[in-house]
Amino acid sequence: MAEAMQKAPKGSGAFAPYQVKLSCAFMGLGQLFCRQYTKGALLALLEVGFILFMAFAGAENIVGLITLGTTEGVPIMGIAGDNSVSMLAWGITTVFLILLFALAYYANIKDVIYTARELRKGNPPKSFFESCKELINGKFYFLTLTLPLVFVCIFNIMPIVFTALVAFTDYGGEIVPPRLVSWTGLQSFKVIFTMSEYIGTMGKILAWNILWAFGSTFLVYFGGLGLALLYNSKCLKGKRFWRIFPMFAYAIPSFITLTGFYFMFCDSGPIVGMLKDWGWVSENFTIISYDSRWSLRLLGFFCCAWVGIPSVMFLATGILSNTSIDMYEAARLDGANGLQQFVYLTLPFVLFATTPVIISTFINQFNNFSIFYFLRPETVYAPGYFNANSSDLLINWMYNLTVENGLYSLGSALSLILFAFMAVFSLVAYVTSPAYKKEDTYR
Amino acid sequence: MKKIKLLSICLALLLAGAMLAGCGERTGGGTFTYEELMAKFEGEIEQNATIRVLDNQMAIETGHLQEVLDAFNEAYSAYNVNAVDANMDQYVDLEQNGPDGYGPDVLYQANDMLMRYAEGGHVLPLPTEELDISQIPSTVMDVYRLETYGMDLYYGMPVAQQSTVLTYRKDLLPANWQEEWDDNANGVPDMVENMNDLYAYSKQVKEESGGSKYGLYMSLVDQYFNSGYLLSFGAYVFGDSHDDIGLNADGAEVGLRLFRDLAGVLGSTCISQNATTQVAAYLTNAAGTAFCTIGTPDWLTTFQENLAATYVRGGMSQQEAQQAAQENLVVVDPPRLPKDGDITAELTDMEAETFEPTTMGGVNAFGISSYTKYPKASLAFVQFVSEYENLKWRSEALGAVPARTDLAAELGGVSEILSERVSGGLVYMMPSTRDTQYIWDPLSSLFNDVATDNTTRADPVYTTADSLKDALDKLVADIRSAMAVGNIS
Repeated sequence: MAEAMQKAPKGSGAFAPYQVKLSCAFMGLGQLFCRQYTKGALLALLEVGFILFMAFAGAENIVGLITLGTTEGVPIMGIAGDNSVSMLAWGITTVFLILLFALAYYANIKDVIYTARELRKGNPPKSFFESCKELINGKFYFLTLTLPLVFVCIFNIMPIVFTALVAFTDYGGEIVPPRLVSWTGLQSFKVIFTMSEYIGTMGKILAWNILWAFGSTFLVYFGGLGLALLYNSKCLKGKRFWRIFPMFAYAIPSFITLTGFYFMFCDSGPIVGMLKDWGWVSENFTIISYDSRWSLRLLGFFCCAWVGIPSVMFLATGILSNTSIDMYEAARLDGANGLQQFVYLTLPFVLFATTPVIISTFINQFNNFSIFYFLRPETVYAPGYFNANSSDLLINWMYNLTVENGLYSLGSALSLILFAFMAVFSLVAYVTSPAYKKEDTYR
Repeated sequence: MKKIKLLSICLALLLAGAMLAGCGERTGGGTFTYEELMAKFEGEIEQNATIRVLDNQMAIETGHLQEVLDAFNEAYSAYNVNAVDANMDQYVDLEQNGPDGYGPDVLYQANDMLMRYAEGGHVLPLPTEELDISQIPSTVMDVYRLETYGMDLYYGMPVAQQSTVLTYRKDLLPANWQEEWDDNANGVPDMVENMNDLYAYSKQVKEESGGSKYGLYMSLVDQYFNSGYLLSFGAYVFGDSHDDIGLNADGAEVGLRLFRDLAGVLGSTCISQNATTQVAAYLTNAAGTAFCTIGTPDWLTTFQENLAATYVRGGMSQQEAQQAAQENLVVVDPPRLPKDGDITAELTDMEAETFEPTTMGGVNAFGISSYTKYPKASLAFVQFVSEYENLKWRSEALGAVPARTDLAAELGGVSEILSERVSGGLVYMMPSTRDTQYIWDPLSSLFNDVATDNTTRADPVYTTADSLKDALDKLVADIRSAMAVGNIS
């Protein structure tokens, strides 16, 4: 409020402080004294509603968020008790509502300061209809963006906050309702970083995950770009015909493709059978086996390329259609060969336009759950790995911990670590990318 | 300055929060008498109750569940009770769904799952005085017993027993089996009587068919079926306490070596859960891809239906086909195991050199959810399905082996075989505790590892007794870790 008051134009003097003070004390009161009766009444109603909510449920929800319940239920006697998980969810919802209310309160004070200033200047206060009209005409962006923002809060931010907070509790394993969940601070992180089974598994999986993310991104990106260049080359006859095939790979849902790959490459599948029949491999040959490491990982790269390359190809085809022919003509006149044209003209141009795509591809690949989930459909844990296999990525491990074993707090802690890693990487990658540094080069 | 203020406020709030969290004294639990616990079952059945019944997939697919529901609704029409199919996944998570009101009212589960719910308080203790349990052996009843408030309470009404049996195709026996494969001349083919001959026969079938046919075909990664090889040689799951895990007990490595040898002849295609889904087709197709399998008795119904369908496709009438399928599919005890664990050796005196194996078993029962709004109607349903005639109906329709000894004796065949094995102490009941959940994944990994060692691994590692013992020690260590994490989380 003080900030808003300080922003008053110099020389305008002190504005009607009692109206502002009234609105500070209770929403809408100042507006009522500025003769904005409808707006004032609505704002006052909002505060009354908020007070009632806090009195009847909100305060209890906040206490519940802090204690996570005090009475353990006895379901066999029909005694419900407290449900810690529900209390956590309602507590978070209440905190969000309080924050939204605080924002509304701030807007209410800003509004009354503005109105009072206008009154002091001798202008009449805006009617409710005029305020609405101004909102629709002058601040249309506010109206259109507020609703999505609310939905983002409900469907994205709140679940993320819930998941993040679970990492600081003991929820999971033996501790599920009706037993009460407790706040345990950094216990889950401590388990991950100190228990030998976890830290060893995490180190191995993280190393493989990073290699996978870089390798698959490189493969998908340059595979797609190469295919787009091929389809773009003048020497290719029947371009439309050739473009149909990647479209097939793109159009078929990836889980169907991956399931197909599994049946093709598993021990009882035709590929391994044929290779054995032809005598090209030994009777012991296997691709997807209990302790398959690199054979399955390489198959994963192949499947990832199959599923991912078409989308990058379509994107690159669009970008390549915007390249300047004159530039290539000039390069040819200067004696540049095909490779030089690609390295010095095509690549920088495509890289500039697709840096965000590379980052998003990297993040998608880092969290690519489906590839190894479908290629190794059975849950088997390899020696030296805890609740994981050698081809599992961190996201698969997280799935094993939470869905397969119900270790929710550990899974949440792992997801926070994953999130931190990805956030730092994305930020660093974007800030150091040509798209950020050389924003004006291609404009 | 502003930042410092903001930080101070945040810290103060955190401190207040922490203090409040500390202040909240936690209560709950309490102690209740038997009468208090059973009070909800007293009195008249609720009028107009709708109870959701969760049964297994086979009961749903064969239409048996719907027939039972209709019969129950008719029998209790005076109360206007409506029992319906819960229409939920067979492995519904009552822990998650129950408190929210989404779970079933009555559920049919194996003892490890139902008792896991019992430990969490998600299913109700049953008034056994109102249930007909006189013909159920105490070993079977005991898997549903849990000490609660200082009393021994029972949380499930046992209906069916499960363990492993061997099923084979009589029509696929070699023509000269009486001369070549019946050394003890007892009229039972040796390859279904002991594991050494089954190993030898499987090897022969595989070699003669170029790998396209199997003697024995089963999943090598199924923990339930394969753990018997360890249990037969002295292993156990939990001892007096859950700290005492005995899957690596002395002698268990002999059973693991036996399993490894068996894997060598079955091959890598059996190192998959798919093998379990594949077995019905392989055992019942016209080509006779598999001669026999080791599985649960309730598979027999499916096998008979499939084989009858194969015969019908081959030109038989439906009636002839059904009769032929029933005659040709034979269920026997699981094969005897060699005392020295060496299934590759030829036996000279089967009785002296082999012994009856111990197999993992379980008991399926009906339980009642703690979250039901209609405990009396739910109990009425449990009483209804556990009546002698209705249990018989279930056993005949689904091939389930009844938990009642009198009914098992009347039905004969596989029911009698399994019932006798239970009575003879040859079935090791799955421990009825939540911690049992931690043994399955490590066991599956062990069987994967050891089976792979003798099929696809270029450099086998489990070639000595010590290395097999190490694998078992690691299994136990993995189970301990899983239990420790489960308790921490």
